[in-house]
Amino acid sequence: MKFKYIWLFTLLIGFISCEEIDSPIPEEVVLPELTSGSADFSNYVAVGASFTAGFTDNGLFIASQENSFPNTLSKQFSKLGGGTFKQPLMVDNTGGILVGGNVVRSYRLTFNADIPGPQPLDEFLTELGAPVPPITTEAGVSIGSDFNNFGIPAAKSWHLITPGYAGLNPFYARIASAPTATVLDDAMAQNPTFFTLSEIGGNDVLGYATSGGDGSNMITPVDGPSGVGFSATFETLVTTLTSNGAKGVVTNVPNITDLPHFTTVPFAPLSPANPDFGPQIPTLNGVFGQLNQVFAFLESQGIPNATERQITFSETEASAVVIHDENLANLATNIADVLKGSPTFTALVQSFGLPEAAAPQVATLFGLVYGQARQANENDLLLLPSSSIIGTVNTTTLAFLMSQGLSQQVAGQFSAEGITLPLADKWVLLPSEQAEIKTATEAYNATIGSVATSNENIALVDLNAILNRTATTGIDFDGFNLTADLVFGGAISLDGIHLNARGYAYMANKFLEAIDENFGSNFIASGNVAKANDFPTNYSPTLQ
Amino acid sequence: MKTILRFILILFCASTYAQTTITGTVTDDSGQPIPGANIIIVGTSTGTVTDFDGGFALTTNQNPPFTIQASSVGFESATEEVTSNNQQFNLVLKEGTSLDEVVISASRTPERIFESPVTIERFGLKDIKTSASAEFYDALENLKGVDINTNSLTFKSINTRGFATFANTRFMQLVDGMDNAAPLLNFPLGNLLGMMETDVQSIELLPGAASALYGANAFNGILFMRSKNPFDHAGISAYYKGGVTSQEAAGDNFYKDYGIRAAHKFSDKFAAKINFGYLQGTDWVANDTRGKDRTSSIVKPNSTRENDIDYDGVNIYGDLATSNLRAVKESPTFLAALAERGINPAVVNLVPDVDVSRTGYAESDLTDYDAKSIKADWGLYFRPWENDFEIQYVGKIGSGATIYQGSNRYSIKDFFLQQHKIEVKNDNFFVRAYITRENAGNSYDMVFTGLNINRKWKEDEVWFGEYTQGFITQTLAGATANEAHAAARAFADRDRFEPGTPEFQSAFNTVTNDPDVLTGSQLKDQSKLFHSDANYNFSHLTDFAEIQVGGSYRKYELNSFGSIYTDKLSSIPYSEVGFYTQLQKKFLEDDLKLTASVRYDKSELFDAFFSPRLSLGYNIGEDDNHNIRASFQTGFRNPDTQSLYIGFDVGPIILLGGAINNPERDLRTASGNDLSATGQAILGTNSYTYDGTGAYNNSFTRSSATAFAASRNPADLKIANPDLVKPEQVSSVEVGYRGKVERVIIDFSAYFNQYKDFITSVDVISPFYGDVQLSQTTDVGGTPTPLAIIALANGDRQAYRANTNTTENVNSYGAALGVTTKVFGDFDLGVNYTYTQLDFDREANSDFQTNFNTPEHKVKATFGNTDLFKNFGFNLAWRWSDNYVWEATFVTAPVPAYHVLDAQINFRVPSLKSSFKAGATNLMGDEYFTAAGTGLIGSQYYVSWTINNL
Repeated sequence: MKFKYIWLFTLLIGFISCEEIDSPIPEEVVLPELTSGSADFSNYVAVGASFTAGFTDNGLFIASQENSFPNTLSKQFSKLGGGTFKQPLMVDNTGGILVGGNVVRSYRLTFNADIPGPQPLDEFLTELGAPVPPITTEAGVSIGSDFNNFGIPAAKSWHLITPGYAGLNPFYARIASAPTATVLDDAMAQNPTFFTLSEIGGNDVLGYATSGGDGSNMITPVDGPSGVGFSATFETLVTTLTSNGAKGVVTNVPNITDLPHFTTVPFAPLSPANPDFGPQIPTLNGVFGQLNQVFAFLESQGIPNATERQITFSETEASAVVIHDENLANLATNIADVLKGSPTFTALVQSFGLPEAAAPQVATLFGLVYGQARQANENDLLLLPSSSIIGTVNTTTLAFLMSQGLSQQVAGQFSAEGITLPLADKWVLLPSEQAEIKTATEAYNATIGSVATSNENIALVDLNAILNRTATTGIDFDGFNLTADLVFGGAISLDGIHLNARGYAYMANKFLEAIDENFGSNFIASGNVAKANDFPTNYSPTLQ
Repeated sequence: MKTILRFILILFCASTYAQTTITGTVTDDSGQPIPGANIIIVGTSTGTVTDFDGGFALTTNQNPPFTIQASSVGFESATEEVTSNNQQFNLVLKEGTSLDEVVISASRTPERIFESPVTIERFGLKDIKTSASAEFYDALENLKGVDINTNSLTFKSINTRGFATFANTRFMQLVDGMDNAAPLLNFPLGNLLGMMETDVQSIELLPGAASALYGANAFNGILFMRSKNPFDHAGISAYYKGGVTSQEAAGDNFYKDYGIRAAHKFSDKFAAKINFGYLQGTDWVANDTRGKDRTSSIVKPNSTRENDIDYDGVNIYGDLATSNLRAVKESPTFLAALAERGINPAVVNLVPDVDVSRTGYAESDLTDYDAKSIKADWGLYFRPWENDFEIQYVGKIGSGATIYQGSNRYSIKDFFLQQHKIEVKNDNFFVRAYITRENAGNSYDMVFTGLNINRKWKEDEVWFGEYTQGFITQTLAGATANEAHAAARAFADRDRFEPGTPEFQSAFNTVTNDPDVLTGSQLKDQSKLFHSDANYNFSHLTDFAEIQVGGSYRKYELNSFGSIYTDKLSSIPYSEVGFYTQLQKKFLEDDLKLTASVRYDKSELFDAFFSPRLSLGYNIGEDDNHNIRASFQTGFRNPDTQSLYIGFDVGPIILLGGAINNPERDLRTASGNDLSATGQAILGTNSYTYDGTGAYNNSFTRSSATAFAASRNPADLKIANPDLVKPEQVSSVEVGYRGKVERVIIDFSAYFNQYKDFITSVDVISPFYGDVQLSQTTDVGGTPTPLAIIALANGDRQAYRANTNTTENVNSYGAALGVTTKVFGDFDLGVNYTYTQLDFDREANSDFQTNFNTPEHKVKATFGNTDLFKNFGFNLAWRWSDNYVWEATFVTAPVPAYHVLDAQINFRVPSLKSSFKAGATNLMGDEYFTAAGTGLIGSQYYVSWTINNL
């Protein structure tokens, strides 16, 4: 072919150089490449308490540790040069731990669809007739101290800098470098380049709350020297952890009273439809009628608000439980005195099969039991474990009443928890106790907030706001609606306090968000986040 | 009837008296015989064609002296004077060029292709004989500017200049003057009701608007196929072709294709012919398992059944059924069932608000891929005065099995199409009328087959309820959400009908015989079309110019029994009428040719339109070897029947025609999971019936509703309320050059089209309650909230793909360049290049589909030699297409660039009047596709024997 036709092809090429056709297929949104920003993720160490450890369903076990938020975070960090994230894994999936061969923490909770609700794993398996795996993690067996996760369940702020804490906490005992070591020193020995210091302050109020504010487990004071007061302790922790130039993330303290541990059991759980309770209502109202008259009388005698203590059970709707309120003026003597003068009370005592002469003694007992009693209202929070004791017979009270000469039947009738026997302080978080918790939480958070703002190496995750949103509006996580409801909320584990795997995954994403904002990385924007679909809400009872 | 015919025949036979017989041969300048050359007596229509050895014998009642002319495509014609009876001639034809070929469609009058006022392609007998394609129709793809989309082995859609799906409604195809569009579909049916290879006289193709002469549908291009008249081409000819189709998905399958033509000239007054053709093979298996987006139909390459709970596979059917699990969570039935089992209804909070689809069936489970085409036609031709005046009756039928890809994929089984035409004509006029009727036979929609087999086995509501139940159970037992989804699907799918089992077959049979889209998938159609047109050419009467006038009338009667159109209650009739005139005059010693035409069209639905065309052709050069042409024309197109009257629920979206009163006829009912508890409370019913008017007077754009779903910001919503559909117009400017430079023939054209009121569809979302102006509100938690927002938030809405016109500018432009020449002696080489470009602001109009569907660049080449050795020839055809995006309702996906090479070798045995061909298409074996959603096109290997095809 002759070369002079080449111009035809030149013409062809002329057409090809035109603009690109824009396509009906929208350009795929290409996520940006992951960048690390200013933080160094090469050696990440997590310091904290149960959340950091991955505590779930009232236990710590291999599977829950694998879904701990620090472990989830470390998977993202590994994309930016993060090294292996070593966790002090438990030996099994029972959730329990031994000290010297003795069970100090028992089995994790599992979901029993027949209850339906949480049930300890051993009970669940026993009911099924299945073998119960033994608890095999022994606190006395040291597994070394070379770990990245120093989340110590149950640790309060000051515990982390208390030498010898290993002697008090089996979870720390396993990994303490020495009996006298502190958690903080052991963590620092890992030379962290990046750290998370999570849920510090949580156990400082939680212990008080889960004991119903009964005085056995006090709120850590805000003030006081490091190792005693929260603020100074927290500052020590942050100062130490950042001392080698490491950056890190801290969290504030949520309003723990929003957790299902405190919100699941309603203040009025006594249903007239309950066959064990409903038929008793007329009798109960008869007995409490005597007491209510006393309160009316006392109020007329100038004792303020005595009638507010009157107790009645509805035959049509659920009634509030009877509780012991330590803040009420003790009317034991007044009640006993009034009853002693009441002829109808004598008749009542006789109807119990007691001699007429026993009336004054019974009146004293009435005073003793109901001197600081009232029916609960919407401001009282009943603790989750109370659900299993409300309506049951308190054997201590039963034995005491029988020792006072009451027949077992009558003594039993007056030992029904929350009905005839006011619920003890440890089952109820009274408004005054809630206020103490709130005050402490706010003070802690003020400290945490100011430390975070004043230190450019510190990012803050606002757990307080997150739990608040979860408890009120619910949170969307990849299409799942996370709420603070027990079992069905999808975020909080069966113990009502700790998160489940999906909740921890969400928490990890919140850490990534804070890291992005403060240190200039782009985990969120680049899609390097935990996905809800990869995490369960529950752990199988068959997991061993 | 028969007796009368016989009687007439006898009459004619008896009327012949004097006879002159001449014989001879026609050869080319190298002495090779030219078979199939035309011999005519100049000034009459009497003629014959040469046989395989180039020989002819002509008997006429005309007395010498007279002149005969021999002509053949590719040769200059030659004439001889006949002076006595029994004279013998040897006519030698000089090889000419393709520029000398005569075309008739460009101006509705014969003219040299060289002088045609607009771009035209001609595909003649030689091209058919040398084509390397498996079927002659496929070979059209080698022409510049032509796209062929393959629905099926037996159904291919041709188009030019873009803007077509398989529904190439902007393209027209005429077979002997009959529009072969199916009345229901309103677009050409490829060669299903077409022509037999041995009956083809010529094919002409006009890319670009030809509305001025051919009416509304000839908008982007028109294809003319003319058959051989039995007066000129008598005798019996036949072909048999057998071979293998080879595709990875379907394997190697035999196919056969044969046809026979019998024509007889009983006398100079009467002739008849009959054709029969049969093709059977296995179709290309479509097995694209990629997912696609439900509303936009855009392919999601990474979506699979395993990784996408709301997977909607391209060729997987049944997964169209989708539900947000929120609907189950809110379903009173579901909550009651939980309560009944003592389960706390609060457990539903563990279920995410995600869309989940049912599990579908592969297309190959829903069709046997039998491809079959049975064609027959017959014609009676009567020339009462033995001149050019002719009365014809032509009947055609087509049946078989094929696959059509429209909004869904359809298995077309035992369809039956018929056409009957009466035509009266002479050289100056014609009047013709024909009807087309169709019956869809046992055809069915494969997408709905999958969907409704599933429903027959288990109602959607039950399936989604079980899925949710399974999800909850697994979640509580400790599964991750991903594991829970997989287990929930397995649970809900347990005991489903497996393909191959009697239960599946029984459900398949029931569903495919049920035309109700809610329960079945049968395609019912008994639509028909009546068309008549007439043309008179005054050229023999007027000297100053050549003037033509003509007109046409067309009436549709749509009858799909509600399965496609809104004709559930009664069929839908409508009609169109048009008139045109054309004036052609030559100036400057015939070097300048001016053609002006204008057409008036009126549809009963719309205002009348005038479409003018003006073109100039000018011959330059000393030997008049160069011709430049320029034309300006406007075209317009009435909305096709689907744009007007469709009312088809494809599942996620209803396709809705925009004719007046059509939306009112599209009645639907939402109940069960389709209507949220909130919606039931607001509407006060659990079964809400609505028509399609909301699409046009109360709707949001789909893209804005999608944005709103993500942002929950009402400010993102945009009101759509599109107008009802009206005719579309195009203004087209075209320039071209044809010429001969030494041995190279060049044909170049470039065009610019500007569309006004481009007919398109727009995706809209109409809420079941509340106005889109957001003025109707109700109190939610103390704030007045617009009802329409509540409807969207609760999924109480209907998506429509509403037919309308865009007010946006839609422009397209392009160019085509073809060169043909002889190289290395007498090898034929042809190369052409086509460029097309769409100019449309898509970003601003993301809810509009233009269906441009053609690549920016296409290059095609053919290389061959008809006589490499004596009686031995070969041909190679190569095509390259740039990548482009296929945009259609069924699926929108990228089409990668491809190369295809077809090849054939042939051998003629004159003693047997036979030619043998062995060939292969897609010889390189790289499977490709021209339209997303179809089977990949594999290779075809064939051998054929054609006998007596001159």
